Amino acid sequence: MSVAVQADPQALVTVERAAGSSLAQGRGLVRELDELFARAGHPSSVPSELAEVVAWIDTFEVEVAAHRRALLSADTLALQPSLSQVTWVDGRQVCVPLPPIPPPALNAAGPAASSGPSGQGSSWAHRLGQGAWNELLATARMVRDLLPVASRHQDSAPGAWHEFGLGLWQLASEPSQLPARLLDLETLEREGGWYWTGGMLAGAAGGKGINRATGPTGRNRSGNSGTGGQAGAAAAARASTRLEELLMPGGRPIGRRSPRGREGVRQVSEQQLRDLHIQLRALAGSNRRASNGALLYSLPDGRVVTYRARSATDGRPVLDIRPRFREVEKVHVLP
Amino acid sequence: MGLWERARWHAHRAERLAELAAEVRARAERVAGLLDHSAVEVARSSWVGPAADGAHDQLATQRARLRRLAARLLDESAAIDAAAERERSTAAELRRMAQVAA
Repeated sequence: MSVAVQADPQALVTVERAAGSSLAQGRGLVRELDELFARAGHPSSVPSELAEVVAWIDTFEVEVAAHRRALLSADTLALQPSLSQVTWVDGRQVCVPLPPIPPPALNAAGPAASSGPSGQGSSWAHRLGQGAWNELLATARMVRDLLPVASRHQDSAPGAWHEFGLGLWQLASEPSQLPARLLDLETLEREGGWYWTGGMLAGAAGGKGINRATGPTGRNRSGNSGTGGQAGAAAAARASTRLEELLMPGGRPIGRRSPRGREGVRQVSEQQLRDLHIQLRALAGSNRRASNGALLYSLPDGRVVTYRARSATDGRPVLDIRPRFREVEKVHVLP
Repeated sequence: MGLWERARWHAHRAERLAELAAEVRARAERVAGLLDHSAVEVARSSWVGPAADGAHDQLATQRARLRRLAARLLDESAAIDAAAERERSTAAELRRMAQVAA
């Protein structure tokens, strides 16, 4: 008999963080009690027994993380941003894949109409293509899935990164709106804020032929807002509002604007890239250098991430991550 | 070492032991509540199914174990307090002996 189960991966992130906090506190308590009893000259077995509980917490945290990753895998395959379907078969938990995410509707009226002058969005959508689309999705998935785990010991970053990944995911889950939203990312970029985010998306697209120097629309350097009239401006404004929601979950900015202006933003971006690099290194444990100077990280779940701290074309601090995934297993069986 | 010096040493030792007992007591509470937050988050989450049930059960087991450990820590702190009291008595006795000798 199969029993359908639903869970929210985000809720498990919270559980995982709580377990991580308990783990850190527990380790500290073991150390402190050991020292106290030693100073008192009063031997006690309590610290060693507490260490056993702490070891269990460690295992528990790992199990929760594995469960969450399984849910996220199912989530990815099922195209459900918030809920995953997990099925129990013969006492084992399996995530059953559903049809893959479709590419954007290349000739749909929506993207062309909402992304600026007639035909431009459509042309850009053509250039985006299936490969870049998959890459964008993979990037969103990686950010959402991996970074919260890798950065859980930092106080402020994990939630922001996770929310950012979710935001990307939501953005990518609505293909018809993507060109308009990318246009808006470019607007944000031109204004000096969040341009690392635009770089990330442009990077995902750029790997498949989009010119990084000019951006996806090819016209943001002209200073033209590129909205193609009032209707386009309204669409861009709506998309902008949505993006602000995505990029500032709960009103808290991801990657703060720097009071020092564009240069400050550049420094913040570079710091974020360095942080990401450290997280990837910690998560992967090993890396190798590709012929083009990029670092290839093999992650525990079989993914390979290519990390490049800078764009190859213009040297801007872009989040140039090229995740590649091994063929997705048809059924993922939890250990 | 003279009687007065020995008395001072035992008195100092008594103070240190009393402080350590207090520190152990303070940690007992933290030990007891170590998994409270995790339990709250598991309960609050939408995590259901056999794996979640197992997590609930194991959490309950480990929290009970933590509470027992916390109780033992209180016992240990009481024992350290008793040792401190013995040191104080010894110090008092040594002071009396020193006064008599003087």
